[in-house]
Amino acid sequence: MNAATIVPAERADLPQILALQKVCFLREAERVGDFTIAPLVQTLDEIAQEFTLRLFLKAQGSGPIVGTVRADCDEAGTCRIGRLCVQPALRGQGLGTSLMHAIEARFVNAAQFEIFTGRTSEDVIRLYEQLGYERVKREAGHHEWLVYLRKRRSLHMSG
Amino acid sequence: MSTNEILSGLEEILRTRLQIKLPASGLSAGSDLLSEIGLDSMQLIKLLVEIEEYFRVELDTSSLSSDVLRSVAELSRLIAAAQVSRSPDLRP
Repeated sequence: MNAATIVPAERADLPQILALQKVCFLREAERVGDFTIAPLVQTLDEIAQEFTLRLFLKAQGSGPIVGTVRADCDEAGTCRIGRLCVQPALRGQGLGTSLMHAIEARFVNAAQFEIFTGRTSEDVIRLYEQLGYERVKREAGHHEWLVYLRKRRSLHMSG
Repeated sequence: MSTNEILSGLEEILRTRLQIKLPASGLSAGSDLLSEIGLDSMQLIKLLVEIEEYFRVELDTSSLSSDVLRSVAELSRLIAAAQVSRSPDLRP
């Protein structure tokens, strides 16, 4: 397989990104026993609206999109990263890490990065911790505790 | 590419791709994208993405902060430098 390159997504990529998101979050839905979680029920109109407010990156080789992540930032300099997705067959090869590095590198004005996931998504939490994120708080989600992780941006961060 | 061409490119991106209303006098090297042109932090990030696509360059922003990138002069310099360093043969 050709190595995927990570570049900003275009509007025309949204149907594919939405489909990938649904594939990726299916396991999450199974784990919590709810198939109405937000990433699964998001519509094309809704993701198009989200696209105007956030930056979407995609990982793509010569074939279909195999990974994606998105983020926005507020005026206080907090960049909120979300919906990190890697095609299940390609997991464990560092693509998630590359996507995280790439989105962090895009947010030159961020003072800190924030991300959350379910408390029982241990592999995901481990990935974020390896990237330098630290657990900062827990919040009650619909089905389980959500863990929020944060990392301060340092200049010359590797991309 | 001259400084003027970079400036008009930036104006076009801001107007057409980010739908920002620019002052009648347009952009100048001394313009501040945040305080004068009114970009918010998210629009600044999107602007950098659009610049890469429009000018077909890759900006090395890893060591820069928004304090630098909000300045049209600094941004133009960065674009010019990226164009010089880019090898046309390496891009599709």
